[in-house]
Amino acid sequence: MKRNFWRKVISGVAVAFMLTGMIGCSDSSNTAKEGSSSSSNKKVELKVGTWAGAQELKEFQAIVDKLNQQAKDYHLTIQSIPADYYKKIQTMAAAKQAPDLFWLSQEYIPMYAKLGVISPIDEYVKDHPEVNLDDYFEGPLKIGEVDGKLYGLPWINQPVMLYYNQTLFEKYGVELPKPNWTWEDFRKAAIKLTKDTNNDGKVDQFGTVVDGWPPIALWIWTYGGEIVDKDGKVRIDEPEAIEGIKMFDQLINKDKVTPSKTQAQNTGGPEMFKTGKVAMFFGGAGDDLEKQIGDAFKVGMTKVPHATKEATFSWIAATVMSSTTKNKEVAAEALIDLTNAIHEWKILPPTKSDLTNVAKIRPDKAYAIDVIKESSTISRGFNNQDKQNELDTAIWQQLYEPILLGKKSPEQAAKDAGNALRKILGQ
Amino acid sequence: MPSLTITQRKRIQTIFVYLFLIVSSTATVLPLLWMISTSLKSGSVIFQIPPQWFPDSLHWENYQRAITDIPFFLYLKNTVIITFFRMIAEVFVSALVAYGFARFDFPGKNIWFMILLSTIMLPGEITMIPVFIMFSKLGWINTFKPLIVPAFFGGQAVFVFLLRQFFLTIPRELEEAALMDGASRWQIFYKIFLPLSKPALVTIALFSFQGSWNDLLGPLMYLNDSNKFTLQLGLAMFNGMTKVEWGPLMAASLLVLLPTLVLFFSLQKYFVEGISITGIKG
Amino acid sequence: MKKNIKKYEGYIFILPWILGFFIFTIFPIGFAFYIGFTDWNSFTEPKFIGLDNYISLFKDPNFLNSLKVTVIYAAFAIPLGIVSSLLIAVIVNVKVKGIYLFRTALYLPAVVSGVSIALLWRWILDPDYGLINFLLSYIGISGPNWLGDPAWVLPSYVMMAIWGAGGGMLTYLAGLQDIPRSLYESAEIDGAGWWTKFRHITLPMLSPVIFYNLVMGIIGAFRKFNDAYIIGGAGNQAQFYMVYLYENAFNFYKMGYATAMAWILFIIILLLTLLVFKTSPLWVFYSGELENGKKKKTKNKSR
Repeated sequence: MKRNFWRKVISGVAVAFMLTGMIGCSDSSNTAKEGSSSSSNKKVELKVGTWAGAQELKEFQAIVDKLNQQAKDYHLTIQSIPADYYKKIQTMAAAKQAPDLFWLSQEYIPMYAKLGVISPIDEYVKDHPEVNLDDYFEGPLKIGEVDGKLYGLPWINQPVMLYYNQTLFEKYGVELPKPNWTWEDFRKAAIKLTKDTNNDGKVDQFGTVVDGWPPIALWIWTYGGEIVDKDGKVRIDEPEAIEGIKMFDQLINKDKVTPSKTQAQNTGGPEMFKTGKVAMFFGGAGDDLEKQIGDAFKVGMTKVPHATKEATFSWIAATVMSSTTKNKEVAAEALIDLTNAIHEWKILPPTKSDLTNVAKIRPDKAYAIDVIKESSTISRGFNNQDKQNELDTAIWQQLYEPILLGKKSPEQAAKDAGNALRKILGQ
Repeated sequence: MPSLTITQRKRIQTIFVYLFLIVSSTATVLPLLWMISTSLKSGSVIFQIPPQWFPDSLHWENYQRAITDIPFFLYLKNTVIITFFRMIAEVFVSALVAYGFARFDFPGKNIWFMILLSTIMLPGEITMIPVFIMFSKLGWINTFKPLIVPAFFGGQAVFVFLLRQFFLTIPRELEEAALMDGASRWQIFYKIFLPLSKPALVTIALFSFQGSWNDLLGPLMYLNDSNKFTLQLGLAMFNGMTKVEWGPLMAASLLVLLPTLVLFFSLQKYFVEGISITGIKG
Repeated sequence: MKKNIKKYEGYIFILPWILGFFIFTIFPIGFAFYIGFTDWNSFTEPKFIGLDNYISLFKDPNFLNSLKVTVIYAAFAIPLGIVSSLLIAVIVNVKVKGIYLFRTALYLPAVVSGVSIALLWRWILDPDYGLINFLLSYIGISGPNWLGDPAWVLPSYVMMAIWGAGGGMLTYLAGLQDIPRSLYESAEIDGAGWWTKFRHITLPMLSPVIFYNLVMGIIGAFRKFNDAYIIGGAGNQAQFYMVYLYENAFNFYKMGYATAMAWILFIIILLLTLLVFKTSPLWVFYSGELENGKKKKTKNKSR
């Protein structure tokens, strides 16, 4: 009996070998078929890399299907990358197999451009009837520019907004946040709303939450400073920037209007806001906080506070074109069509004309459409460098986290961060 | 003479064993309970510290979404195919190679064995790109081949090592007697070594199953076409552009987890003390 | 002549692996060996820079710190992990009602989703609402800020490693099945107690499996990545080696630098493994030596 058993195992392995071979065969015949069908239609086959998942992927597929029907010279295939997006893009690009079109978040664009992974699109975009660069908000369009060339068209622009718990404000009789608020106004309201509601000696309701988010740039820019300027010069330790960092430090360590770092990270800032433990929250304009909060309390949204200059950080991503794509003209055509189509999706678009539609696509945001528009106008990304990820890490390690933990003075943190950034950029 | 009889001692022992089992398995079962409770919650009440163990209302639709938001059964089929072939290869070929290392003295054996172990020591992160380039040169990208074929060439180094350890404990006398009877080395391998090492082979089979069932990076790197995706890639899809769909994600995770648990539970019969081989060894 | 051929018979059995090594493994490893001596962003041509990566690594405080963190973690986690997995295996190797279920429960850490484990530990270790500090408060101790305090991050991770020890019980359990019952029975007749049996039968008989787990424990501890990456804790002061390596490879696109790190890690693991192998004749007991249930020390023929 035992002998029989192992015989079965061995023959099983043999069958396995054969089947694996067959899978291989059927695969190659499949690709052959695809190849022949595309050549008969004379359409250029293009792959689109995306991180959209589950339901979004279905919606995105519908967008692509529609484009494929209309398009004469290209056929798009979605390549879904549901995890470790940048790792896979990096690996594929290293093997010269990057998808023809793909999405890049703002901080990756300069590096991918300078290392020749993506191609400039100026010549195709210029004078194209479907592209009106003036329609784009300035901030999001700029993140696609590297060394004077345009490498991508933004498809999403999510400015950081100030969400507030209106019910809580009214309960404590604090004046509601206004679009023209300064950081001083913000500070005063936050102090009033930081409370120990059950008198157990521990503060359990906070004015706001800062736990790694929002970026320090929000303070530095609104005080007229820069972290790294357009020309790549480090300016994080100049007086304007330090003023901003001081306010950041003031809120966290002197006024203590935010929960501790561990507390915030364990629960998560959005969670604390949604459960009414935090009165004011910095969130992306497109976050569906309203839906998730439902009737628990009344939510309001306005522009982020400022000091000497109005600005807000924005989460921006662009569609880019791989430098290895074979027919760049057609690929660029597809890039333009695809990006335009995404602008009409449920996301917050980087174009003025499409933003007016947001009330229709996202009815939950209709109440705040005016402040979203104003914020989009002042929204911007970083002056991204080709070593942006390293810069961001250094800012976190030398400045953000030490201040969050109350371990460094603003001046010291700015100085250390400045030195670290200069070292990375070789200045 | 001890003051307690053997039965009394056994009884006290059993009580302590139960006490330990209850306390420790309560600790280890918590994450599973959290998954179950999360799979029934709506989006807004998931993250709370301390956790809310009992949802206010049960959202069974998360399970509906778990199998409809992603093509669950297609991914299940793909995962089963990959896991099936990989498991067969990894168990069988690893055993073969382990036998070679455990029972032969050939020149260079120790060096080859250190090389085998070395392949586990080098972090895979840095060979990822060259491995990808290699498979793409072979034209294997977007097929199951990179996930299956290497297993047929040498199984898994870790398993070879583990099985070698087990084979080394099998008495030489058995083998020498069989050789005397005119058995070939191959016959000794599959008539003596494999049946004698059932618990170890079952362990490896389970590890191999888990390894390929839960493999995310391999399918992620080598499969492009979403029709060829596996369940782990499907789970990753619930982590969307703007937010993570925790309810459906945990519902789907539980469904994916279920076969592993069933397999582990049913393989237990191979781990019941001392039935299998005492007769031969003792 | 025939004897000479016979000498190489073993190669037939390891042939699949040798083929696999030459087909699938040698090129990527050779490539990585070269990359360690280059400046490579993974897209453009690698630039040969000799030993520069290795030299700058030893001047890099983040590298040195991550190495220190990982070594300390390994020093605690490896022995504790082995001891607790072994003990669990010995305890669950009984025939009592419901043992299948208990074993499955104890094995859960090896199978449930990493996110749920991470979240659960964040809760258990939470300074204000956490389970541990709640229990500590009963005996009048105000617990530390576990993951938030650099001094307590490593103990937290070691604790998590012990909690997950059930996931490592399987190999021991398999090993326990191979110990002949008769050994225990004859020892019982001689009046041996629990400890004597454990010390003189179970441990030596399991030593090949312990050896395996020691080597794999070394590799696993030094390559610790997943929960360290998900849970985080106290900033880069508690950054594990592999997390820093990963950051260099996939966030900073410094592939050459990351590869050099990988080779240093490789050498460390290799040296430790060789050390373990060299000491193994002293404590690892391969039972070709078992005859009729009696222990008899003979030279291990198979090695």
